[in-house]
Amino acid sequence: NLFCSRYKRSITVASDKTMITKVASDVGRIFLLVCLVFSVPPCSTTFRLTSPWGWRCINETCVKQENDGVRSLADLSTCKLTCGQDSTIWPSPTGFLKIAPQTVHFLLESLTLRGITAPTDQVKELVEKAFHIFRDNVGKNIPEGGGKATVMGPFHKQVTSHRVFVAVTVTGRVTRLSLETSEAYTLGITTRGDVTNATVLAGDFFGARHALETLSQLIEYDELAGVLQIVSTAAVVDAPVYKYRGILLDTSRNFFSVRAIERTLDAMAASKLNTLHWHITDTHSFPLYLESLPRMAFFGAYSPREIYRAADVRHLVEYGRVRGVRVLPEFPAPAHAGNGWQWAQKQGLGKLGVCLNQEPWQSYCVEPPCGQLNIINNNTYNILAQIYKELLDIFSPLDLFHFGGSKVNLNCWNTTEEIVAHLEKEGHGRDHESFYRLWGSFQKSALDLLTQANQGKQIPGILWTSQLTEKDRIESHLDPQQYIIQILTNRTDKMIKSLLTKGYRVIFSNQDAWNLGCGFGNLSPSGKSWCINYKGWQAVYDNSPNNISATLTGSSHRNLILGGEAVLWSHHVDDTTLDSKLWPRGAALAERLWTNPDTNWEAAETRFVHHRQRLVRRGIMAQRVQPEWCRQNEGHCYL
Amino acid sequence: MKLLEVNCVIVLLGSLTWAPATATTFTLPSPWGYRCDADRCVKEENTGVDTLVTLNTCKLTCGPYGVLWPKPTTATVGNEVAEFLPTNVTYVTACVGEVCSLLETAIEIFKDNLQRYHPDYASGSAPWEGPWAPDTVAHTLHIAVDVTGKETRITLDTDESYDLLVATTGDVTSASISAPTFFGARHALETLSQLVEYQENRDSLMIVTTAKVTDSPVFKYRGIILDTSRNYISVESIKRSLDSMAANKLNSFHWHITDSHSFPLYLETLPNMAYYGAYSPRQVYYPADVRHLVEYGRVRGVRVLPEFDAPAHVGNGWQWTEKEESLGKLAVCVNREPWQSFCVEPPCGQLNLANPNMYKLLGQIYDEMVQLFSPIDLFHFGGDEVNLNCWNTTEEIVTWMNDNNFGLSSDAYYQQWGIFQEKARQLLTAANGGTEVPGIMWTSHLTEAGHVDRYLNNSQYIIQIWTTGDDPVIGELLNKNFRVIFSNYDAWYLDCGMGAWVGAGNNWCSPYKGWQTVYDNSPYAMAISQTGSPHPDLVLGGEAALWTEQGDDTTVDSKLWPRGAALAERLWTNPDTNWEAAETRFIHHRQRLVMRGIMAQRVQPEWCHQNEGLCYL
Repeated sequence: NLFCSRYKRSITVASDKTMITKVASDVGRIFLLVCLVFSVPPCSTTFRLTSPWGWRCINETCVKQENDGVRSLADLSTCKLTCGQDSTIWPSPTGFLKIAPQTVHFLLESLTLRGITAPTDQVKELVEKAFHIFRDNVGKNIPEGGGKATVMGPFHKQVTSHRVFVAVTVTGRVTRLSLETSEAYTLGITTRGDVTNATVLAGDFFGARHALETLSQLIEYDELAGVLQIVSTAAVVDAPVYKYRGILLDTSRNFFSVRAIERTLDAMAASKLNTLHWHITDTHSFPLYLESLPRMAFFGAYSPREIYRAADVRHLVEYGRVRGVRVLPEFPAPAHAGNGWQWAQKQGLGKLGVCLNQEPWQSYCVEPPCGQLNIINNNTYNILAQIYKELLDIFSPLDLFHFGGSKVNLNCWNTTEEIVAHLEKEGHGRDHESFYRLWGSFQKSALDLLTQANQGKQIPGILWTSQLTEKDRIESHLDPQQYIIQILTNRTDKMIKSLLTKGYRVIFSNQDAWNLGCGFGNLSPSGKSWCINYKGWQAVYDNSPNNISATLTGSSHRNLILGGEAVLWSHHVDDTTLDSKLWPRGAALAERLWTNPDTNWEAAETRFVHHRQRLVRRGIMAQRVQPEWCRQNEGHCYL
Repeated sequence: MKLLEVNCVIVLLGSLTWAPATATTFTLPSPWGYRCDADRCVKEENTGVDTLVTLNTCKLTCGPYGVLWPKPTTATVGNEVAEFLPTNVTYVTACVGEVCSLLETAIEIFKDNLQRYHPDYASGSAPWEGPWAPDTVAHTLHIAVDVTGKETRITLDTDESYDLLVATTGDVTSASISAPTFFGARHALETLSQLVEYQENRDSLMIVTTAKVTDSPVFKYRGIILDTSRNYISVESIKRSLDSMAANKLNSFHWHITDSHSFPLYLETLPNMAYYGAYSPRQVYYPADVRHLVEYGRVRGVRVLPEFDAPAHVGNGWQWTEKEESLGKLAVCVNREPWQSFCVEPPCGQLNLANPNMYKLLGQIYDEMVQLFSPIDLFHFGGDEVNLNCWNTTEEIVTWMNDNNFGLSSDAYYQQWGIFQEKARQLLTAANGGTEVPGIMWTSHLTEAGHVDRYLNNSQYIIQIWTTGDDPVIGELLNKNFRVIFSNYDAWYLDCGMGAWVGAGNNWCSPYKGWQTVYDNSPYAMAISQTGSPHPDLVLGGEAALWTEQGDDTTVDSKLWPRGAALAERLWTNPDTNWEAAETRFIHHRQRLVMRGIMAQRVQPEWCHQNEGLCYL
């Protein structure tokens, strides 16, 4: 290693090109010898060629040129940082953005928090935590060493003496995200002499952490200088267009480790997304360990290793909070409930889940395994109340709750003797509407139970679009004051129009653009062709709730459209591919929801590709979307 | 009883303060167990009366092939297991020369793979804690390997067959391996490792007590191609690919090193190629890296086969020559635009046929590549997708064509391409000390239907088919006695199905090729449908391709695996049955790959793994 780093330096200092070639050739031979002597794998990672290439900003584009030794060209990161209106900030700010085309070098240890002005200790503490995360992220720009990278020196005094101070002022007391949180911020950067001051001003903690995120994106590693750099002067005024900007993670079809969910929260924070919608359970498995109902996980988890404990959940809720992300639980019912409910019958409670793992599955559900709640057994409600109670406790405090409520299979209930007998006894028919009424009254009870569990305080409930939200049915079952509807269908679905014109608040997750699980063979055995095609980042980016609403209703319904969410059903996913399925496409969603740009993906491409690299540096296994050549040759991979 | 356990759990949980580390070591029991019923593992609730086993135990011993992947030619797998610890493995070898040291390495790899069965394995070791029964601690796995042959490099003539006999007497399970070559023996060790699983109830390993396997591959050439030019792939990732290939008995890692996009290979005699052509100084393969990978593959039974694509698919890296008066322009149309007119994807670039110095450099490149990858038994010349318009709009080439009275017709250009290829072949032979090696070429204009043998000789070239499985050129190649390797994109291109990377929509070969499609793609069936014969003498095998426009280190594993395993069984076993018969073993094998550190993608909900046969359509 000693040999290699010595030669690395000798190469780096050579400036004449032909010299470099000669030196490189000689060094190559010596290096090979050294490596053969010291056996494989060798020190090759520390031995480095230099590069003849550099970048120049021309008309807001970084152009790759050969270094002619006369003019000095920047490295790619440096060029991108200061070239173009939006620099490499992702998502693009909505208010004001001005960046001077100069950067200054500094060392990580010179980056410090100068002061926090906050109304309460709780807010102050949150800002401190956010600053630590920010500083850690800045450190991750330094290659070969992660957050604790030590930069090789020695550096010029100008570099070592430069200090970067961050001052944060938060005026509001809010410590939990809600639909009323503004998340707005301003950020100023000024440099005088050997001091750069970054000043953050925000109405709430969440705006402040977004400001720190933006600040981190105005810092890059300068490959040529071997040191960090920050934009010397900048002004940013920013606030999100949509209040609800989410990602759905399904931990029932396959289990995800706590570590993988943390990475997801990290990446969400990097893109200013604010809601992790956790689809915890489904018919497949029940991975949540409830202290009051341990049998649910005992019977329902895939294995004892594949369980979330209360402490895990609390940890993730807090992990998200300090990153500006609400962790929102979904407990789907009355369908999508199955494994985990088996124990009740043996405990004398009767059957609480019906059609459980029943076959042929095609007759009783949309995918194996089947299962729905037994909504005529009172014990179902008792248990549901207990579940809600514990969910509220471990996710507390909740400002939203997701009831699930997607497609119910009527044939399951209609072939379950106990339910059929009940209907007959009560004098109800067995037609579709009777079952929908039954479902509607279940939902009403569920809402009441949730409110009771929350000490009588109502929380807006989210429900998927379903048979219950159809035009002629929704108003008799669901109150627009109490429910938010999440749109799972396609952008052309007429139901969207009826929801908006009836005054329901909605969240868009239309499958034709925001289903990130598509494109890996059929999602489920009965998978329809709509999910055959992978949704490229371009399709994700261009999916505009505003435009969909305008097309269907003639109005953008800004007050009713809360935002959107990309969904990842996990049929084909577990820890190994979670990152690459969510990212960087989740970032495309993030800019649509934060910025809601008038332009389409093409205008964002360069920043997007750069942001993907940033995610990878932060430890997110985001997928490549183009050859590196396209990143280095901006604008040349056109069609 | 069960309830009691649950209550204990609650008490325990209450006494713990939260920390992620304790959360993973603290475990609930499970009420579920498995029973082997008609070759299928059925999940049942443990009633305490019957004895149910763990999923791993059941899978190991249920069904005629246990969880062996790829399926052996013939196998008898017993239905009893013995528990043992990975520290209790002994071995003896009977071998000659260098084979002995190869075997030592293969056994070390085998032992490491045993460690990796532990769910908490990390960097070389695992926390085996027990508590164990005395007979678990006493149990030994003894391996005896007998290799008769001296071969240490894989070729198309290598006999990869082996016999494996597992028997248990008292405290000893003995595994006897006999194989004509080292390569067969290492496959046997791979099979042996697949007769082992983790026993979660006792924190130990378990091995099937009796087994008899006689095995050999149907196809000689079983490959994966990885492109390191569109995006750079780290040495560490390539090693993981080789690990996984070894786990699947694949034997050829076809390395598409360079293309028009970048030139990541550092050549000592031509350092300017990487200096100009690498994406960055961090994205370079140095000679020691290449040698390391060649050796890393060899001990895992994998040939590392270089491709140097020419005369198209060159570009970045060649810019420096025109600055040298003695060389001039050796590549033309480099990064030229609009790219649609001069190549199939940006950036463009082709070799300059009119400049004789180009051959000088090509010879140098071949010289160094032959050394780095030595000894080579095959070489891939690339040779696809030449854009005639590039040459025909390059003044230097047009002048040269006219001056030599070749004319400017398409035929004239193909003729010159043919001559280029012959010169390239001669340069390679010279680089190889005069010994000819078969060259592999992609299907292209040179192998166009109607004249597949106009430019290429069937004794010198093997043709790799990348077009669709029903391309008539397949029949013609076989009828003209060309040896072929199948990589038909409609089944074996693993990069398909992402979004587009130029423009919007999906990429050109969408949709994604699911593992079922990969598995069912049969070279013999394709040969039969066009010629009426499987042509076993000509169909050398197949290869799945991962072009990396939309992938790098973060997704190389999940794009290659487990689908590469589906390819592996098609090529090793060539089963008469389709994917459905293999599904259970396949799902289990994916878990094994993950255990070994490969980030293979899930293909089903875990519920399907635990409820065999119930995710039907």
